[in-house]
Amino acid sequence: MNRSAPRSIDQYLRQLREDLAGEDPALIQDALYDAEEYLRAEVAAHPEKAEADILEIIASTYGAPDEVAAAYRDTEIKVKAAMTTPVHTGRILVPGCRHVDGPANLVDAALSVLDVAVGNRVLRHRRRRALDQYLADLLAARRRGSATGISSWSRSRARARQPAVAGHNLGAALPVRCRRAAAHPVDARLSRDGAIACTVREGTIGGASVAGPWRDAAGSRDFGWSKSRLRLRRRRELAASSHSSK
Amino acid sequence: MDDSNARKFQKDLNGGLVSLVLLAVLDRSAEDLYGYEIAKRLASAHDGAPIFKEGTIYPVLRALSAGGLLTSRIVPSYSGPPRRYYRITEQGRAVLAAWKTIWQSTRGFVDRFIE
Repeated sequence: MNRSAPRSIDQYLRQLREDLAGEDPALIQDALYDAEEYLRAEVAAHPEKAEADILEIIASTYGAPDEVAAAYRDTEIKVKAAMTTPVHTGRILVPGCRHVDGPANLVDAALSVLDVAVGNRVLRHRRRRALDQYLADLLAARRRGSATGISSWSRSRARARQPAVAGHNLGAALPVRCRRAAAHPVDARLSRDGAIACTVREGTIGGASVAGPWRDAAGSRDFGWSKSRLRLRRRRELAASSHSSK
Repeated sequence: MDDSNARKFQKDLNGGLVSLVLLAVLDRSAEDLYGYEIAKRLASAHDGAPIFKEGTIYPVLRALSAGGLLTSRIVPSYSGPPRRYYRITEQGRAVLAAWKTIWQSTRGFVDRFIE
């Protein structure tokens, strides 16, 4: 494409948009946003220079529009390949798992429950019993010190397509896009109130994306379990344990 | 070696190094930094032609943030659009420590052959 070097910020942004034509709108928006931030900061940092003069040297510092567009495309490809297309981050509190200890176990437990949580947003009321049973099984298995057999459930892409969790079939309640969702834990730890707090990345499989109100302003979101519900559950457990010990 | 070969080699090298450098810069910083600030810190640390264009760090910052290695917050700016400030996370620090070890080991290995 034969075109002149941009002489203004607007021209630069227009050329960058042209070079990114056909890409994901979110990627284009990110690239334009970042470029504008840089260019306006550069212009503000050199009030003695004309905008056209600054734009002349931008190609050698920030990069020409086609170079910058290529950088965004390359990074997008690498991220997709390395992280199975992470599109959202979420944060999940896993109730009833406070007896689980050790980082590996935390991740395993959180990973398993997370898969349920992916669908939990759309889980029909009658299916919640399956989720509760799943959590009870998980907790019981951990108390026995035995492997739950659940922890590897979502680690392979093929198995992540299966909507059943620990024998409890949740799939019928989930739309296809959720069945295809795979969740990747990136951090798991005990929260202050003793539940597992797990920061997760939601990915996609087979090109299907998972839409939903996952991303809030802070980039994380507690979904599925409110603190009051956790407290209620804990009180019930304590009451049950004290009752059985009498 | 002509320029295109040199540029391609540099680009291949930069693939992972930009992420490593960005994590290191944010790890050393006591405050959150936005893209332009980071770019200028990198530029001032190197004499001569830049190792990588400043425009290439922005998508990497976003990728690191999407991967949970950085967190970001947006702050209004007088000079243009709101600025996105980045901070390294605990997970980012752990990853940085691992990458540093890999980098030092790799550098030592390569140096044995080229020095």
